[in-house]
Amino acid sequence: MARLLVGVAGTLFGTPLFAASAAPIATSGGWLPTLGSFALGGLLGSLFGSSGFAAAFILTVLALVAMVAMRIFVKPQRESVAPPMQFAALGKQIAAAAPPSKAGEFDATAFLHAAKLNFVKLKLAGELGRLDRIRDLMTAEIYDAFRARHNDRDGLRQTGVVSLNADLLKMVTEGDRDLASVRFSGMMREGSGAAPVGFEEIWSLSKPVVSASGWLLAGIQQLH
Amino acid sequence: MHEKKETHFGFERVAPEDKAARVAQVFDRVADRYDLMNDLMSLGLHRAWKAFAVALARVRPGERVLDVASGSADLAQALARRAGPGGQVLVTDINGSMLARGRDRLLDAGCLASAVQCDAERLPFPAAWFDCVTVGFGLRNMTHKDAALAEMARVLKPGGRLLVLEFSRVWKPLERFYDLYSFKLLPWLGERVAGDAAAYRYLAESIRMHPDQATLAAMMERAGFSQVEYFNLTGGVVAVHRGYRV
Repeated sequence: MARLLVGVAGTLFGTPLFAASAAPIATSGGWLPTLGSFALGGLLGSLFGSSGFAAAFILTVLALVAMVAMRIFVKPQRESVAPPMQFAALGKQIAAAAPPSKAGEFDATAFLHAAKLNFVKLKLAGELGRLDRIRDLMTAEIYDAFRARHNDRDGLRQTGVVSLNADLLKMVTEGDRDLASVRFSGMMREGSGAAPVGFEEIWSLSKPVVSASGWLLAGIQQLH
Repeated sequence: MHEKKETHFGFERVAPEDKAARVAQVFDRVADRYDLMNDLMSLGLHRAWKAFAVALARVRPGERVLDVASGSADLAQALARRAGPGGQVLVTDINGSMLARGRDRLLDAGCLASAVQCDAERLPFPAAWFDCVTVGFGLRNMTHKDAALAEMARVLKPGGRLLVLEFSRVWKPLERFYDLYSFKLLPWLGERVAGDAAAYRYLAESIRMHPDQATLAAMMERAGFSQVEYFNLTGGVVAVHRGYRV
């Protein structure tokens, strides 16, 4: 099937680059499709081919398509043998290994969504130098610490979150407070034009057990 | 066009009031596998098409951008990066499940965008509010395209631009192959991957019923846009139309 797709791709959107990238896949089933996609790819490539950027882009895209196509058409056979741990590599193990003790009592998905929203808000407010916007997301101590750190910095630092995951590590009640730990991980760009780097930090959130007030950020532990 | 009494749902004729619900059913059915199907159907090229549209939008930091029929928010994500922390991106979709999905994907990519579930023919925003409006693969599904375009013109500031990324009329020599691809392979792929051939048959049919490049450009002009131009991509499989509100 992958070969069929590749052949179709070569015919419709082909470029010489595409045909070249398709060849290793096609050869496993014979050389004719390779030749076919190369020829058609080359022909149409000359019609549609444009800049080097486009060619590079298409090459990337095609690698991706090949991966996706392989995944789709190989998966059904695997599924019947053993259910795949599809997300094992995406950093979800912790959430799966340590189920939060109070997770049943509230909507964990909504909680993590709100946590992510606040995470991004906090980063954006820091970038814009508008800390007043995040004043009510955190305890007074944390806010003071944030402000002090912000004032120490020379100018504003452009930090763009590129990808963001959040896992609920634990959820406990200590005395009159509910405490939650959320692990954020993902990629962040420090400074415009810089390559994104991985980050991981744990937020401690707290809220009074008997109160209408929401969760407040009470501590941040940066792992890296 | 008999849009007053009937409209098209693919090759079928349906009452205008039914079209939105029928389209909603399609998207509810395919929402889970939507992104994967996009990659498969376009052989990944939809990413290039979207990147091209975003480049044409020329969004500058601090601008206010509306992405109509945002779906899984691919365009919105790229637009949000360009608008920067000082800018504002709003995403809308008539379909709740697609919108929720897009909103979550934006957040997972570290982008802050407000999501509004609404009909593109009645946008709940003030006039002259946005610097840029985009609609990617959404106009085709709208029942009254003229009304939707007029709404987009209304919410744009004078000088603001509209970008329409949509399937269009393919280059003539490619037509036969394209028909074979869309009426045979596409429904088969839809059946196999998303478990729904009908939804993808609708896709192929709705593409054929959508106005071609010149017709859409004329519609945009009628809706109040000037300097309308379009760019064919992949031999006219899709086209990006850009117009400015005066």
